[in-house]
Amino acid sequence: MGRARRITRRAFLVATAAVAGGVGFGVWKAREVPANPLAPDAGVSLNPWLIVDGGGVTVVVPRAEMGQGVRTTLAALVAEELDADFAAIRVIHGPPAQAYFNGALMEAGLPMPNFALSDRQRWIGAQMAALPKVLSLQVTGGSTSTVDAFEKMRLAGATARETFKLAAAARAGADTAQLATENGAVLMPDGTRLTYVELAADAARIEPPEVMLRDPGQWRLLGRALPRTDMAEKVTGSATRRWRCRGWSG
Amino acid sequence: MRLTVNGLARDIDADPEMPLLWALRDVLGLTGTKFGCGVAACGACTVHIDGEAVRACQVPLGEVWGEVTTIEGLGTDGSLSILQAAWVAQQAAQCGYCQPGQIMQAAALLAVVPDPTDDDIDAAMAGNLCRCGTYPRIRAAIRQAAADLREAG
Repeated sequence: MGRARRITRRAFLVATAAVAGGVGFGVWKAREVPANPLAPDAGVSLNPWLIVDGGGVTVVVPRAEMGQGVRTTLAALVAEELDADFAAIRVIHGPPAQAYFNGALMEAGLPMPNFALSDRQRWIGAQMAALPKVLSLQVTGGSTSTVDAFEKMRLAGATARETFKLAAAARAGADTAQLATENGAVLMPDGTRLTYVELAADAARIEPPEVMLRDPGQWRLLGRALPRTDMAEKVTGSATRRWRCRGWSG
Repeated sequence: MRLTVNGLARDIDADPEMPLLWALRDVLGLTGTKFGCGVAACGACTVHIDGEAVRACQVPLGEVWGEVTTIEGLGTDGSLSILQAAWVAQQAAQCGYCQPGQIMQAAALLAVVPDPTDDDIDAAMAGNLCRCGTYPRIRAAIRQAAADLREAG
């Protein structure tokens, strides 16, 4: 996984931003980082996919749950890199926002199966990813949810994890290299645990660092069957269905 | 008219011809019971009347003959019934839309047959459709719930 990447608190830097043949304004619009639409009443949001408040870690999964398990898979992408306690994680759909554009739509729209795409065709798809971004297309469909989220939501988790480590290091006068993370907390060199909840306010004031994504060999959640985060609400009938939406209330 | 729903007396100001399902969802706001087909062909709207599993879309309000129990009366997110806990343990639901009806049908089965065979389960559950095809996990959840209920006495 080698390339260092960064996402800012306000959002996410798209790797392939230029619109082929676009004029300056188009390129600027495509490169512009979408704002973080989250402004929680309590707690902090380090990026569009994460809220940390007194209740713990909440992940925004901005795709429709239709039984494909997206509220579990996408939450796991964040939790994997964040070292959050997956069993305790809460998942919300979040508001409609440009930050949640589906960058995998265009590749999915090319008239051949994904596995048959040439490098050139993939490149075209990647360039065209600017289109759903500029148009704020927050679409669920075409088996694109995980493809779109695979890097961005892991980056959201990894960036937050490293920001929490910076906050913990600053508090204890330690070096981040001495720190580890586990189950929603930073482990200090002396063995004490500083939870993400405790560190959230400090972390919100820190410029997020560049991060490396973990090698798949280190994954603990991804690639394994996980209990669905929405199972209880589906067996009590309380899961919100799309025709019952009453506006976003966090 | 007055109905007893999940143990509470509820006054409902509606046409006696209104299907019970409409009254539960739109008048009482109990949206755990789902509208699927509207013609008693899918089982998504299954509730209990005096413990018997019925299709709420086909029972007019004026003809409700006993106490109504819906999925909300079985358990809540923070306090699942043994049957619902078995559903979670077996990870039975995918989209989950049919599951409240499946669970109500299964509850009625287990009330009468505490140790059902797979044939008993298949016969009782035949009218409850699941487009995700979760039938094997539903069957496993019912078997687990039957064992858990017997153990709980």
